[in-house]
Amino acid sequence: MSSLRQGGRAELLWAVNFVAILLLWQCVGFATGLPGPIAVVHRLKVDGPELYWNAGLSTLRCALPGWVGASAVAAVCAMVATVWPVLAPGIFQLGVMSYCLPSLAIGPVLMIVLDGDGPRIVLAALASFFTMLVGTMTGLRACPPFQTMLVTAFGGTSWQALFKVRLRAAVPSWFAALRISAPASLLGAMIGEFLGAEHGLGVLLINAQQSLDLSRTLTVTLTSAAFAGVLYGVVGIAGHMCTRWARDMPLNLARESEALRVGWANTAQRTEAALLAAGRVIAAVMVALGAWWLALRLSGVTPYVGRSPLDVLHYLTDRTDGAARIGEIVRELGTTLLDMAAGLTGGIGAGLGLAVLSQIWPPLHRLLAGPVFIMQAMPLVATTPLLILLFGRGEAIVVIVGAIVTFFPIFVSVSQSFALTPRSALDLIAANGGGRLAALRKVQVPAALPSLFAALRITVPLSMTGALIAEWLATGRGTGYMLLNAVSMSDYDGLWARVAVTTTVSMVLYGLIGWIELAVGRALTAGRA
Amino acid sequence: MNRRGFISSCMAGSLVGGRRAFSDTPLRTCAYQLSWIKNFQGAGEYIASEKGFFRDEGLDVTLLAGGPTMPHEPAVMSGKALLAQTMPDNTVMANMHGATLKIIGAGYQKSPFCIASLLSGHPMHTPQDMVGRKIGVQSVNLVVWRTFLRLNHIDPASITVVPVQFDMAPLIAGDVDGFFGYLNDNVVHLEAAGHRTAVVPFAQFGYTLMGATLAVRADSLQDPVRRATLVSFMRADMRGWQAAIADPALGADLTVNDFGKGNGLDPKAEEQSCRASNALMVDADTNSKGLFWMSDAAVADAIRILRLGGLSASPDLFTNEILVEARAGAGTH
Repeated sequence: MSSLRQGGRAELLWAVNFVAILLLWQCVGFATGLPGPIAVVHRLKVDGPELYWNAGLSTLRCALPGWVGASAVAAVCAMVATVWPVLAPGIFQLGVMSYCLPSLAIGPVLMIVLDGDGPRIVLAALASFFTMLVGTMTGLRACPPFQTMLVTAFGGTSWQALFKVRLRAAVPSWFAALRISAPASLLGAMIGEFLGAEHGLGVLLINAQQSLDLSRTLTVTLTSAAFAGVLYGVVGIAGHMCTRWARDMPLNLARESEALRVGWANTAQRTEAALLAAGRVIAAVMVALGAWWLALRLSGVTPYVGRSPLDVLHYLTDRTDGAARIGEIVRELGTTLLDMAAGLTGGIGAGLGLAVLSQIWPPLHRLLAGPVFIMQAMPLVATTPLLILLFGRGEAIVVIVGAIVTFFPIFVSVSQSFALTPRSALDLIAANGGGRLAALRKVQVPAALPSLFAALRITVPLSMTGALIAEWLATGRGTGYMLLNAVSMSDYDGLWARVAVTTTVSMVLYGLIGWIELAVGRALTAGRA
Repeated sequence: MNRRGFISSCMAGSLVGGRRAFSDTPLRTCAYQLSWIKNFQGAGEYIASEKGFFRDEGLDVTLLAGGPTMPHEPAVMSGKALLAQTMPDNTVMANMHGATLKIIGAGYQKSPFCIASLLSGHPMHTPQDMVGRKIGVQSVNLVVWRTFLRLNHIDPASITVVPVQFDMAPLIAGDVDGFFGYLNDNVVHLEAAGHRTAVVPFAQFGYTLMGATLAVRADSLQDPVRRATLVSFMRADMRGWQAAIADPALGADLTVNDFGKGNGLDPKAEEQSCRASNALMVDADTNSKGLFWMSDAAVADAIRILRLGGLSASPDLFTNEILVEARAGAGTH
């Protein structure tokens, strides 16, 4: 009986949520001149839903193979990493690299190397690979150690342990990763459509923007969110049906990728760990350069576009122009780093703030679910021009675009950490007359710091993406603008140099935050001991 | 090819004597890189494809859609496309960075570029009107923009350049006073959306550089098979564009209801764009020498303007040889 009432209450909350969002949106529309829900419904009626449905299917046709392909490759990589743990850090490093590559810049290269739907499929795959890798690797480690020990004790190999025990245990985590990477793959395919496509949501968007049709622009972005939502839902249901035996488990990308890394870091003593880390950095650089060189060789791309690491080195060390080029790239990077910091600050503020507010007033967490999902599933290339109309081209837009791409992992991580606060600690605060605020201040926020750090790590590459997009579309400065400029000027040495720089900076920052975090963690535990 | 296309191609073939339409010779395949997603800018190619003009020449042509972030020269250099519709400054910049491209024809006899502004905002009619204003310029057009200012002796520091893409919302919102765009595209969309528009047409103020130029790899002119394919392509393409120019409604219809179907194109705006393109494609030279022709005067002018923009261009970048051969063979139909 009580559960029924609760169910009813949840539905009511959803309905209230929905109506509130529509009302708010319509009010924003009236205030700013942007189309509200009425305009969108009208547009849908005039155009006919088939226009959006067919365009969505076209985009899906590229997003799905990319998504499935990335999942398959990630599964193989994760299995190899599980059976041969020595390879795990290297494989993970490649995953991080795929996550840090600016898709904006490598698109033109993909476009000429691949035919037909190829570039869009690869961009969709790149957008979902890292999440799938983390999800699968985490899943394969999820089974209790005694189960794999049992297999090996009976003379089984680690491959047999993998197939008999680990794969089954990996299913929930795998589904969770599949679910959250679905919207990303759709957005990846849409970025690909901006490189040239016959049909799709991206193409519809270009025409809507060109003909100054704001209501259609917004309807297209909502269509992409709806398609992402359906994918998310379908995978959720499939996952639920396949894993009835397991607890429904949301994947926290930040926490899991952190756990994987700490797993490797703890295997050695301190000096050994430092050496090992240094070795890993060198290995990562070699792997990255090797992958770069090999990709050029295998694809047979014309050398006019496909510049090798050596070409870029020559470009940067050229006797007459080298110093000036390096100076230019460093100056742009300075701007981009500041823009990243601004975006991250916004993201941390929004993520932490919303997590704290929903602790103080729990229904907020549910109320936020819908808008947050839609925000994550809307293509930034479409929403940024609309945001510029609202917030101009100054610092505000950099903070807002940065916050939109980064606040989600922070919000999720911190919220989960709050939820995991030991009952006893909360009881202790309550027994001493402390309220929710006191619990937050004294226990929950300090306890959430490791989660915040973990979230920050996976947020850094995202904030790079946010900064590049804001610079490209709004501010016209920094690396984001010059990347595109290099393409328009046919300056492919300059393009590759900047791709290398942004990817390296993302990866270094990613590693650096981990180091700081380990150091802080050590200092804390040392104090306690 | 759809049924309609097949039937019309058979009809066209039988009417003109069926050069290859009924023979067993397999069609030669080639790819043409469009400059944008499928819109009016490919109207001539759609007609050539739909009416069987390519087939008459023994060609099976793939029309590759372009897009906002797609550079065209690499598609040609990599061999993905035999030729691409692009702009001369982009081709020259590609050559300065190691590409080996030639321009074999110009779709637009004069520059299609303009600065569009709203009559209800700060209307601009001459370059001098832009001083002190905010102008939205795409990064891909910055070289053209700087050259245009130099031609008109305007200090670049006297104008605020704002980065924009293809979305003209910043102009409507008053974020910029003027927008770098195409006479036959952006201006048409502005008017279609009910915004009365003023323009500073680049061609009227010194920037006479031709546009929508066709770039090919230099070695394609030497290779006998690729050269023959280029000649056949241009012969069919000229027929397609002649039909497009004669009947803008036909080009618009194929754009909206066939090649760009499902992409939400506005039929009226596309037809208006086709009409506006005619003014760029046809002049005294093309009336006597045929479409795409690049006169000696136009080439000399192009080189002067490109050099003014700091680009190193020489006359051998441009060649009419494919057009000459295509015209010579046209009588055999």
